[in-house]
Amino acid sequence: MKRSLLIAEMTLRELLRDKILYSSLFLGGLLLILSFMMANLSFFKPVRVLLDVGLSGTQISTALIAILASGATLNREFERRTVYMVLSRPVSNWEFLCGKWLGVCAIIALNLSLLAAVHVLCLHLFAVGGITELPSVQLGLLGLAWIATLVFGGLLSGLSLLIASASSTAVTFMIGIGIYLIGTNISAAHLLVERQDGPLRQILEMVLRVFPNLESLHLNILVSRGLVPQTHEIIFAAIHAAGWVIFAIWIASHLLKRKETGH
Amino acid sequence: MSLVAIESVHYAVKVGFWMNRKTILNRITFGIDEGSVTGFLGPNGAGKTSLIQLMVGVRRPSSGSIRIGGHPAQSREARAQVGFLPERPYFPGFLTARQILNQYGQMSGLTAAELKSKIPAVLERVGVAQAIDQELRTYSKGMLQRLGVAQAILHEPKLLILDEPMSGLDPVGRYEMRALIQQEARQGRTIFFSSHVVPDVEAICDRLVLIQRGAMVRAGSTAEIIEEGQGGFEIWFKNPVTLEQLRIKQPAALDGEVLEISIHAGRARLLYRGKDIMELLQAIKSVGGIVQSVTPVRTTLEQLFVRGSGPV
Repeated sequence: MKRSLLIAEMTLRELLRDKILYSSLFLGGLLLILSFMMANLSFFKPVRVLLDVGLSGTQISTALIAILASGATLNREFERRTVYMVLSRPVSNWEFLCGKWLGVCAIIALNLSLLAAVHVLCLHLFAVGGITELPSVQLGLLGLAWIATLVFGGLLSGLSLLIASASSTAVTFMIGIGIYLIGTNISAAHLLVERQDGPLRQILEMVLRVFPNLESLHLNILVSRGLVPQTHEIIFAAIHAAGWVIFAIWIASHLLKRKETGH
Repeated sequence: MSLVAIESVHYAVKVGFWMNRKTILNRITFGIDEGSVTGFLGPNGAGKTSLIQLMVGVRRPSSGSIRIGGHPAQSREARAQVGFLPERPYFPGFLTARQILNQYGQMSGLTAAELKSKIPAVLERVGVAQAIDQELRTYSKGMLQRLGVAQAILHEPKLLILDEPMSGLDPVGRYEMRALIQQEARQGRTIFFSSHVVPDVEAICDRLVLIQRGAMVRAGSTAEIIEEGQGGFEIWFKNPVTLEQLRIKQPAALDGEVLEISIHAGRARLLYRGKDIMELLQAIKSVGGIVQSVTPVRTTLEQLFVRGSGPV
């Protein structure tokens, strides 16, 4: 664990100097400001717009950071051969990847904190403007949504590390975005599959059953409507995410030995 | 006693869209004795880096075994005994030497208290102690390479593996790196390093391993390999005589093989591969030649390297 924390610290320090973080943060900030402007223009439940669009912006920024940072941090280790200086020591692939994952999670948490602060500021400006006041239950839900977004980022980061352990940064980005789009629209995907017939339907149903469910960590609709999610749903979503992360890192630790560096 | 035992190692990777298997290393077998300095020679693409990656345990051979100190190369026990410097190592420019060594030292299992005294000492040994708290972006290529050695020896490993340690260095940097390797060798550390710069290897290694196209060409002591390449004598003499004259007048003296005789500005140069040099010298004298110099000719490692001998 100590070795993983050392790798996490190094990963975090490197990612803090990466332009990826700042461009994703900028995008998230832009979407939050957009949500503020849209809420101002909206005649019908402006807070709902502010919460929904704001949380979506936070989630898009988190997804981009999770995918890009995971792909880049692992592939860069191979390009610069630093991975060999680490793995030639008594450090296992599992410890190394856990460290990488923790480092990316830390940067996601940092990004999330900054965007959450901007979101709260937007809500506060709304309140000062006298337009509306947020019920306390929604404030609590907003906190839960941020935690869910952190778990969502962690899950996407684990999956991106798995893809990056066998491919380039560009391929990781493309597949990662694909997983994000399907995973956050899993209900719609189920509806689409229901329209299919024959063995294709069975295959697709099986795939969707095991596919990472990112939708369960997307709480913006519940938060914006003030609906409290069921406790068992939250617990299931957390277990589902943790299971996927452990599985992804375990597989990645086996694939890492086969990863080629081009020389 | 062998610290490293490499037995019949075969390594293949899957390449291309159809994942065809490509053999990188084929039936590599040799040992590395404790306390020796072994040079690992081979042209670019011969498979040197691949074998080193197998030795430091970051990859697994397709078949065969690599054991370090009796443990499989991938085990924690084996890796704890190895210090490794990859080719052209990268260090984050925003860190200082102290910070980066602190990270790598802790990963090797050293405590913070141990590192406090070890880091300045090891940087002193590699000659960058004066820049201990400078950001690494200010370091020269030679300093970074020496820092690379520092991270490899920080935990006092039994075996030091260096992949192309002289790569990209200017002559001064290469000289300093050679001196550093020799200094570590004097302290009893077993050193294995790859290179394609033959004079560097010839100067500091007591043992050699040569590979070409993934197959082992030769392994043995440097002296033995150079001795094998002993190629007779080069004789310069005045009042040149032709080979024919020598043959007619002193046939017995040409028992060995005269490889070449040529005339240069009134002097003759004779290349002779035979045992009794004295008899030949007498013969030259007897036909009027005045011997000016006799030099033993040896095949250099460079020639061996270029020529290659085919797999053993």
